[in-house]
Amino acid sequence: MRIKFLSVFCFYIGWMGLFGLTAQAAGKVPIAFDKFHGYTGTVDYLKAVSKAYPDITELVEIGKSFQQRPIYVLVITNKKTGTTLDREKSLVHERKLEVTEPPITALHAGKAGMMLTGATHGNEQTGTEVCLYFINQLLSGYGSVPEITNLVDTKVFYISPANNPDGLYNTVELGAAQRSNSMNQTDTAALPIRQDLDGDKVFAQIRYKDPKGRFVKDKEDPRLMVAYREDAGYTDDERYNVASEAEPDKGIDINRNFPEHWWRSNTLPGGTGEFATSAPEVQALCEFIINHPNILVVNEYHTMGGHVYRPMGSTGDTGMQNRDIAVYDLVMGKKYVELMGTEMPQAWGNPKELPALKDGLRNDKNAFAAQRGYELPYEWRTPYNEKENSSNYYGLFLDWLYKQCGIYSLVTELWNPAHDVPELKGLKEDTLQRALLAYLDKREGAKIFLDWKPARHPKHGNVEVGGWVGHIGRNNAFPGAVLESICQRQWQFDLYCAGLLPQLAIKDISVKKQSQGATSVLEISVEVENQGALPTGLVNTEWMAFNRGDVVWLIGENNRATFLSGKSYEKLGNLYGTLQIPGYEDKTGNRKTIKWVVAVEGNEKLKIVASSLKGGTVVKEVKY
Amino acid sequence: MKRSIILCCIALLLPLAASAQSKRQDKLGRPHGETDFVINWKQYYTYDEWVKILFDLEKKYPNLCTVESIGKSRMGRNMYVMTLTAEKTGPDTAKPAVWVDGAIHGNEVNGITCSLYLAWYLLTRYDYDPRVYEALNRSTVYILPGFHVDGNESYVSFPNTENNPREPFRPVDDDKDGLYDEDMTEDVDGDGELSIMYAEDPSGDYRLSKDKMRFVRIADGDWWEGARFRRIGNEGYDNDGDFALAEDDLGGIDPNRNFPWDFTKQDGKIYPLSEPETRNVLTWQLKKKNILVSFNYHNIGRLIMYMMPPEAKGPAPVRRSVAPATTVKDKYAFTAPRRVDATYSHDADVISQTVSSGLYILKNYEPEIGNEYGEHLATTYYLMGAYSFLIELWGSPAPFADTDGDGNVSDDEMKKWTELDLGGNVWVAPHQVKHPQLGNIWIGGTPKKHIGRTPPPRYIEQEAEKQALYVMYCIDQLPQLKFGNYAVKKLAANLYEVEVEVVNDKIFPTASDRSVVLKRYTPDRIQASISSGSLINPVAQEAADSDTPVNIFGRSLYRKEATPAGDKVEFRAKGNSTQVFRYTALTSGTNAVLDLSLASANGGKDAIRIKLSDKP
Repeated sequence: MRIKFLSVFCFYIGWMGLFGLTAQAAGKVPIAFDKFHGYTGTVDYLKAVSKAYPDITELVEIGKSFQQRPIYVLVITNKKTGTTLDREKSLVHERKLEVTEPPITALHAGKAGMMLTGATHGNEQTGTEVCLYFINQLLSGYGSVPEITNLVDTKVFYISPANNPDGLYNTVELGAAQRSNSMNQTDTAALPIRQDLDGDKVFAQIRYKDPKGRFVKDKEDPRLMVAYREDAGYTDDERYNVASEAEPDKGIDINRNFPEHWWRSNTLPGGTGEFATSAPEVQALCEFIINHPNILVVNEYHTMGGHVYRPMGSTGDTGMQNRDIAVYDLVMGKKYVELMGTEMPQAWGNPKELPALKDGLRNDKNAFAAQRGYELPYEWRTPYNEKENSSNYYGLFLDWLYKQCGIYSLVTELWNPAHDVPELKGLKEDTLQRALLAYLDKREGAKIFLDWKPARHPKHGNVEVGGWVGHIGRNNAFPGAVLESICQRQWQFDLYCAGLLPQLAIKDISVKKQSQGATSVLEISVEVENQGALPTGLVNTEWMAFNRGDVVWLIGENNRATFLSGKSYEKLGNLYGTLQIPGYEDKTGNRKTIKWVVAVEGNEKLKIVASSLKGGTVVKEVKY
Repeated sequence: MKRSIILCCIALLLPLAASAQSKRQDKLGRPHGETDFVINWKQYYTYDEWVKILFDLEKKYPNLCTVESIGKSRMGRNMYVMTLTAEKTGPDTAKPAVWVDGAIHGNEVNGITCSLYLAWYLLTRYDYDPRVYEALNRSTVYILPGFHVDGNESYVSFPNTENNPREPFRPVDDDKDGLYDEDMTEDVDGDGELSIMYAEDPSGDYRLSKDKMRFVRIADGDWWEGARFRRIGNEGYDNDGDFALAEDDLGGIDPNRNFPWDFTKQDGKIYPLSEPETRNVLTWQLKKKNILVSFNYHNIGRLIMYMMPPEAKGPAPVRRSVAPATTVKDKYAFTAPRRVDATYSHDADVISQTVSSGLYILKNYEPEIGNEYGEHLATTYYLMGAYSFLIELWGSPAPFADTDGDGNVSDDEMKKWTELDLGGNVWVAPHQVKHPQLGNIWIGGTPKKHIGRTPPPRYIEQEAEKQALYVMYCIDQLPQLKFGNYAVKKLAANLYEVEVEVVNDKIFPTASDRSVVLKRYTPDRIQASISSGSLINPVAQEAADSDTPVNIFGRSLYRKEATPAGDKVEFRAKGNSTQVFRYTALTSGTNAVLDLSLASANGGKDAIRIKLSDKP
């Protein structure tokens, strides 16, 4: 039985592996990963590719940041394929459209979609690079790698490399590492100090003595600032404060401003901002997601840690549906852990053992693990503190997407030096930092850690300047080979997820015809199938208002078909996919048959349109 | 230096006292400004028409009224807010404010007439009516006459049922068939009214009424020989061929479930403030920290809906038996039926008092606790700390038409009311129509548009006037802090104790309990200075609580909760409150004076000079 389960995966892993490694034709827009692109470089690249690949890309501005920088989404799909129901069905009394061409009726809404985002936190720019790498792979592989070509023809990818343009710009272009956006919460916030204290044209860190400081010099490598611990034998005289050489703008954390679980309790806010979605960047993202209900998977790139967070952050698994959890862990998580090459829970290898494993965990203090039958590994976990059954998260994008939008949302925390740098493999936190400095000392090229030099600071007086260079720091993968290897791994994972997207198809149309003169009575039977791996909707949101489920229409070209049995459309609910998830085997099948009896006059053209919110829209002519 | 501060305060107060009203009218039965700017209150206005009225009012009363656009609606219409306050007494944000908006739901356009009427009432009466004069000098009124301007315009200018259109025009697939807003109500017979369609059907359960003006249901078992009808539904076509009519109308997001308070509970709803209209309003309101009271006009039902603080947790305390209240019976007296924590007890009292007055002024209105999840009034209370009321205007014509006193309006009573009170011609008579999809059908049997949910024209002003008076009452009750009685007591040579009252005799406090919880208010402040010598600053301690009256120099003064005060004291003045501050001064030399200046963001300013001597 184990073999059968694995074989389903082998199919996907098989062809994913193939084009992950296939040599691709060089793209029309060359790109290198030896330095960070920042906001300006990213926008230049997006504009260049949208010009170089006009048939399969479209650059959309979804809103503006607080400082009025455009937030761009690159849409990648074959613009000549696909359709939507609006385009296939003409109305009897065509009314004047009061709102012209709302984005929700865009052509690409008729294809299952996946979204990647980067730099929600401005100082986590590694995610931006992962997005750009994905774009380059997809575009340069189109036309030469059949699997990629098929994905671009039948699916749609939305890539927002910079969710937080102000933070990214200030981090990379200005060197002032900035997590939040630039939306001042008070009117009196002083202007940030951005003076290059030592004139080296790089913003690094400053350290200065403070008897209440939170840092001390490491005893072995005094360049390194480590957290002050009372029991480590330091005196107050040795304590330091550490800050950025260039102060970031004061703003609000975008990833605490989403509308899911924003309220701490019934009475006070827990998230950031005056209200959920008060940040213009958040509103732009929410509006985009609402207008693209065809998106089923979102991977949001952050740093650091070298692991993925799946939902939820604000509640435990009790806030989720078991089948959704199974898709996350047993399908996506399994793939991610495989790519990381680390150990995975016993149950993921053989889900048939789950009931026994659950029994074994019954008395575990992690009740969530006992419920599932496995502890989540380091590489694949939730932001929720399962052991203590508590959370400090409010207003996460991750939670909102899963809980309210019916999307398999993921947060990938890129970059774990102890995993991603071969020389540092497996080192623990105590020794890792020192080893990291030793590694950087030997490494040629861009300086990432600077020696400390005395300088004068306008606010803090005598300080030392040096340490981590602001725009790279230790929060981001080192540009070059290390960064590229991370991008490569994520590309394989995202491609795997894209390969799971549902795909509606009209399998079979059979017609029985009786004619008298110009009138024909047709008995039409249509089989609709979801040929993709995943179901067309999550269990969690099945009942929600936005989820219309899958529908099949029988449409006469001139609206001259008279329905004798059935009406113009029939609802199918959400169709399962081909993927059999252990414990949640599909009993109804991934296909449904709909029958109509209609009368037509003359040779009225008939067509079937099968349309799924998240599984694509397809059309087929009825021949009779 | 200190002296000059006092002088400044006095200087500020001077213009108020000095400039009298130019056309003060104390005689009843003579014009109070109504004829200075004439508006016809017997009609509903289109967007262009009422916007023109706003700008004409601004032009006519430039020192009292400014009109600004707070943003655009989904379809690009400007959303205008009027700011009403006397320019000469300071900027709008330096005074406590009442917010009023009308018609967040497109079809509830009597909210527009009520808001407009309020603006007109205040502006035209300012020069005549001392109460209005005082109100606009002391406070600010923000009025957004039309909230969902696209829907408002559609409702007034195009054929619509009385329930449509309510929501902003974001495309929503109501019937979940994959098409957006494809099947609306439509005016099939082109008579400018949207009515109900019926088909002749021998098995139908409707018949024509005797006067042939309505379709009436044939009761089960009743014998009926004449023509029978089947109800089809709202006037319209089956645009998408699914045999359903008007099942996917324009729009779909209820704007009054679109506000951020407690949004997480609304699984599957769109994100908060997703609509341009709601976002424009709340982002603008959040900048005006002086808004203390908020009104939203809706229809229907004649309700005062009030937003309450959260319910107290834990078991209810055991009630001590209370002596029965004295015999004065007030049928409008109201106490909000929710137990709240002590933190919010003042809010509960203020809300109860405000609702009681509303019930008296509006008559035939019922109080009802407001809904939370995403409603505007919940957000203005819970996020801004403003006392929030939603008025459900109009309703059944029972108060005018119910002749048998059963509380309902029967068909005959309705007929009589529409003929005698409304003068007839308000009914869509059933008539035959050829429908392109349904063949020969009947349409009609319903009243025309402005009968059910919006008042017929002759009732517009009647409704709007009492609403204006209710808001006027709330403006009147915005906080006003003043120094009250004071007493000086010599404790020892050169050592004086001064007790001084700060009085707010209005219902509203300078900040609600909710604002205090949110830390979203500027505390009221008294600065003290002494001409010679020094003030003894108190150390923090719990205020002594004593009910013993102390009679000093013949004044009755309760020492209850006197707050020890020094150079600067910060506090929040509750509604209908008298707070006592106690100063201790060590003077050097004779004839020392204590200067106190009171500044409140929402309660105005006052100053007092107290001689420190034991001789009166």
